[in-house]
Amino acid sequence: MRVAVIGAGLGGLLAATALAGQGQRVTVFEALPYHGGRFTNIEYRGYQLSTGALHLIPHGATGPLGAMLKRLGVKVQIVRTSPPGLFRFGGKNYTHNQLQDLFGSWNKVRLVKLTADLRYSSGGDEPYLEWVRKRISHKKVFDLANSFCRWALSLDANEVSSREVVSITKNVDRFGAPGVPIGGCRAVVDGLVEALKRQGGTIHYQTPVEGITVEDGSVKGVSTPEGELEFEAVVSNIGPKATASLCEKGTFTREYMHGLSSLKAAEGIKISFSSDTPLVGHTCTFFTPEAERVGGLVELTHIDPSLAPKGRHLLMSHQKLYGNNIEREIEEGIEDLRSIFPGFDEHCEILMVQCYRSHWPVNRVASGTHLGPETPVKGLYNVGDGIKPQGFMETDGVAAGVELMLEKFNKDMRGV
Amino acid sequence: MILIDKERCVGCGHCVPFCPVEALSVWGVVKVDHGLCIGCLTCTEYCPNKALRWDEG
Repeated sequence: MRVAVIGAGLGGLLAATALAGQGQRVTVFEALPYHGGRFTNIEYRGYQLSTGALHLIPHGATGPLGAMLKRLGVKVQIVRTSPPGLFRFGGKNYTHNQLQDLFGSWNKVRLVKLTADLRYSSGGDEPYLEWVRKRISHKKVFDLANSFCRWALSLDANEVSSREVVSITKNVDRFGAPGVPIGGCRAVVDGLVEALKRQGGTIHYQTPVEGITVEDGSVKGVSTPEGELEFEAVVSNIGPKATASLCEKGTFTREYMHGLSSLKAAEGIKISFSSDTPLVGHTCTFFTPEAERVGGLVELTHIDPSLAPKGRHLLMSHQKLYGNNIEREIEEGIEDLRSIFPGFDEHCEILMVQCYRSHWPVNRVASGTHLGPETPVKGLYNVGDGIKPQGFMETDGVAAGVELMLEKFNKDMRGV
Repeated sequence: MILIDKERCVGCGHCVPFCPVEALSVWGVVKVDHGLCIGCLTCTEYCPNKALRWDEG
């Protein structure tokens, strides 16, 4: 079967490589001159910065992305962070187990109950912050909840359901803590492109898909600057809204289009900075619950020193974007970094401040909204950060969404 | 010179490493050092949001 994949981002490359491995004839169309989208490296003054995602995979080598890369024969080393997380309170770092030292005896008991509920209950529709408040009403716990949600989801704890956060927690227990791909994001996408080519797939760079042809409810092909090309299936990695806009008006019901327009993206700011001295001392997720904006940061060079020039450390912080005053949000983020690390101005240099918003967000569909890969058009599927199953965040969510697409694709094939 | 469409530029930084004379930097949005820019237009091809364009003026 001839399959077109629109977009050579992480989701598109995973889908393309997996489908080519099944014997499909896969052609990837990428509008830009390079592959990887928001998941590759930016080389800048000797540092390996990134186009979007941090050089961090939520569940390391053993999560959905790690497992899929292994299955597809992509050789990339993913090293687990240790300890998995540190939490900064009052200028001191706490491991997960040490957090209870911050609370009095009654609240310690409540905290144990909260932790147990995160592991063994199933959560519900109510916002995670409300769910937490019912179990323990303490500012430090609210700050922890917000710090995690801002870091991992670019959302506040009152913008995501408790069901989602409980599912994520269970997946952390099941699949493990984050890992750093050696060589950064680019090592992953370069490996995927190699594997895709080995399987006979091709990539056309600087070839934007301008339209998807649909006849009698089924995909017939795509139009590109190279002309009209016939395909039996199309997998789109450009987001569900952009995918729909490539089809002729009237292809989808008003209800479907309304559903798409109500989807909200998650927006954020990443500050990449360097330091001449270790600030964290480990490559762990360093949560910053007391910060105004920054949810957390990582000092990546303890696992992969090649990401920075010799003697320097590379750090990346992430914050949720509030409102439209970008300049102010950046200033707030930098202020946070100054107050977290008193020697910031002396030891650190800001390399790049990247913003992910509007049509180029952190996640095209915010976590907790679970849109399937299927569309009302036969043979047309979505992948990417708009399609993340419940409990799967960031790039592991992308991989888990691609697995869903493959399941659906193969089921539809058998039905033909 | 190279003009930045502030409506389209989100400040993702994709263009920066492709500039052969290091005239681009990112601080929320892209900034062009017009003293360094040689007008090669490479950046216009690497922008995922078509936010960079050449203006004869």
